[in-house]
Amino acid sequence: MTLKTMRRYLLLAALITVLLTQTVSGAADVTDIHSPDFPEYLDSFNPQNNTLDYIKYIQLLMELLSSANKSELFSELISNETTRENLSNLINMMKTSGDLKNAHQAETLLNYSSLSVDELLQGIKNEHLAELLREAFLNGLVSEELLRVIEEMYASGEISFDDYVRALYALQKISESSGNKELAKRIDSLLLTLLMNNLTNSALRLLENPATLDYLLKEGLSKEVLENMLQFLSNSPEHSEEALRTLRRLLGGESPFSISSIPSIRFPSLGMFALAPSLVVDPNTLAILTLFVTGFVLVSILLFLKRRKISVIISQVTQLISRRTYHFNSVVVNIYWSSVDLLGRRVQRNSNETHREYLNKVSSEMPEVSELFRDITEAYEKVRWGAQNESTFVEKVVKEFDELRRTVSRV
Amino acid sequence: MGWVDVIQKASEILVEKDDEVKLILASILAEGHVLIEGVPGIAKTLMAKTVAKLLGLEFKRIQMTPDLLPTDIIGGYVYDTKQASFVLKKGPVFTNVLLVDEINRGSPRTQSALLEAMQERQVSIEGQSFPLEKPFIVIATQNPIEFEGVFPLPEAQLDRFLAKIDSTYTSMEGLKKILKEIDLIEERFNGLKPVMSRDEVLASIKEVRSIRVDDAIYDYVTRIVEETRRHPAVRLGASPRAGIALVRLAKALAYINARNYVIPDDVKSLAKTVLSHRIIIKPEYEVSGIHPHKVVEDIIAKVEVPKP
Repeated sequence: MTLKTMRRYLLLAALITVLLTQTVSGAADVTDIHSPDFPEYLDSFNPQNNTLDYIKYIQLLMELLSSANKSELFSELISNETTRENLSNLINMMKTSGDLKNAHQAETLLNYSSLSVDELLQGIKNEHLAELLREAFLNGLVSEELLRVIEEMYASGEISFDDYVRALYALQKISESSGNKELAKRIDSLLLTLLMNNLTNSALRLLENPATLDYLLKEGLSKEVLENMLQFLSNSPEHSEEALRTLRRLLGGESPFSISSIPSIRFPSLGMFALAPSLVVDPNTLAILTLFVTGFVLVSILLFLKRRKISVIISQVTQLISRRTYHFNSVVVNIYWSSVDLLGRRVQRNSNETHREYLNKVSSEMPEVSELFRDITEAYEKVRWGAQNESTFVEKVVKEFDELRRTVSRV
Repeated sequence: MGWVDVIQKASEILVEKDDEVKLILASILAEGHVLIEGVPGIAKTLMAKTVAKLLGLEFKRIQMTPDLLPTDIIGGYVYDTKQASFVLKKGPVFTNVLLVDEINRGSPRTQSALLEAMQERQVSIEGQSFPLEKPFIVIATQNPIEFEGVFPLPEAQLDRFLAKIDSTYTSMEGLKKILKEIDLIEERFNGLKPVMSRDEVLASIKEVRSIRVDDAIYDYVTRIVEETRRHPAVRLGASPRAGIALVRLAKALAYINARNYVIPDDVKSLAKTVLSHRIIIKPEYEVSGIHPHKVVEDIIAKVEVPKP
């Protein structure tokens, strides 16, 4: 196989990888915000950002969290005009601070409440979910079971947050119109939980950074607010223990993470590529796809090596490595090969050439060194192949090698 | 007087045959037999006779024909009317140097009898074994251009020849020298005196065995033999016997060149002589003109010379 053919194989493998990645990215959970799973707090705080009042930001967050905690339903919470305005302001602050993901989610929760069922269904990107909902609504199959299926789809990463919220609102509206008040209420409560999670995540994102905490405390934010937040989170069953531990560490003056962070480079997400496809595709499918692509590349490489004769390649590599390390316990022999290296820059020695053949080649191409190299070669032959005692040759050969070096540098 | 002197003396009679004489001498020292392939009239017989004379060895010649019987070579019991009993009449095989002219003209049965004697270095007559004299070397010749009335040697029998020499015509200068000096050459041949004795030859054969062969040389020979089996054009590669032959001949060549050790050059220069006749080329490569010589050349060019 030529290098050209090898390049073709590799190009084909690369194209297949890109196509597969494109297919995976279709699951639509890829946002245009940041690489998934990257600690976002690293650039979330910028005290030079004069357009953002961090004290107001955290107070607003705490206020909204308290209101949400007192409410039982999402509709109840946003029916209050002040709360609605506060939420809108907070969303703007989130965007200013760079917390685009939480801003987007809060905005989704806030804005989709006013859309009709048709508008909601039309906006769903996951075809399977859209079809499922349409069929369920047409056949009047609006039930807890359907809600459970939607929740499972979201939990498994099959559908995006956007689709999930649309589906919940659509199901809530149909439930209300069909008289299933209990289901509608359950969904309303679920939406409230989503908003609370969203607000808490935003607060944690801001407070995870010790620099932000320092700044806020220096600027006059009372520790009480943070302690209230810790109290609030402790009472909320929807929040993980990890989040609580983080906040406790912050209040205790420790680093938010139990282990030191590793310096890394952050890349903005590319809209068309799924940088963490495991979030949006079944891990087994992903493993099979990866195996397929890896296998294809490996087979291509093996075919290439087979064609080029692997033994030849190995011998060439070995020869290259061993060029200057002879590991032969003899001064004469090592001097001979050093001479060959020295002369090899002018008269190349082929691996199939014997020492006598190379001597003839050197004699015809570099007659200036012919005599010196002849003596060194003869000594080498006697010591290497004749196993003669080298002590009688060493002194002479060392002198001749020095002379050879000088002669070669002059020529 | 040594082996270099034998070559020197032979060159006074044989024009441009130094390499071939050297190979025959090496074969004698390695206790092997030689097959010379060449057209008639290129001094094959003269070469064998000259070598035998110079080494003080007994020389006999057999002209192979299709009706030649094994007993014509090895001998047999014949009825002696005077003694009124069967007496043993030894064949020409009981000699030191046996020239078998046009070996491929002999019937397979006769060829087998001869080749058995070459291998075993003894012959059986009427159930009784007779060892052949030492040294014993067969120099067989065959004509490469005749295909009618010949019985080509099977591969197994070709393998028994230590070396195969492709003898060619002399150059124009060489031919001119022969034409000018033929009377002198004949005179020199008739007056040729042995340079060595049979005992000295036997002592040399013994000395050859002690020639030093480095482990790397064995590796080199092994790789060359192994490559003959991997070459894409080869149907049947060289046998272990081929490897043994290559090492033995290399030792003998080193001895003739007054060295007590083998160098890679010895192996390289002998590879074609030792391996070519033991390799069988695939028919599809044969028709496209690939010759065993070319295969061995490829292999020699490919296999790395031992380093350091």
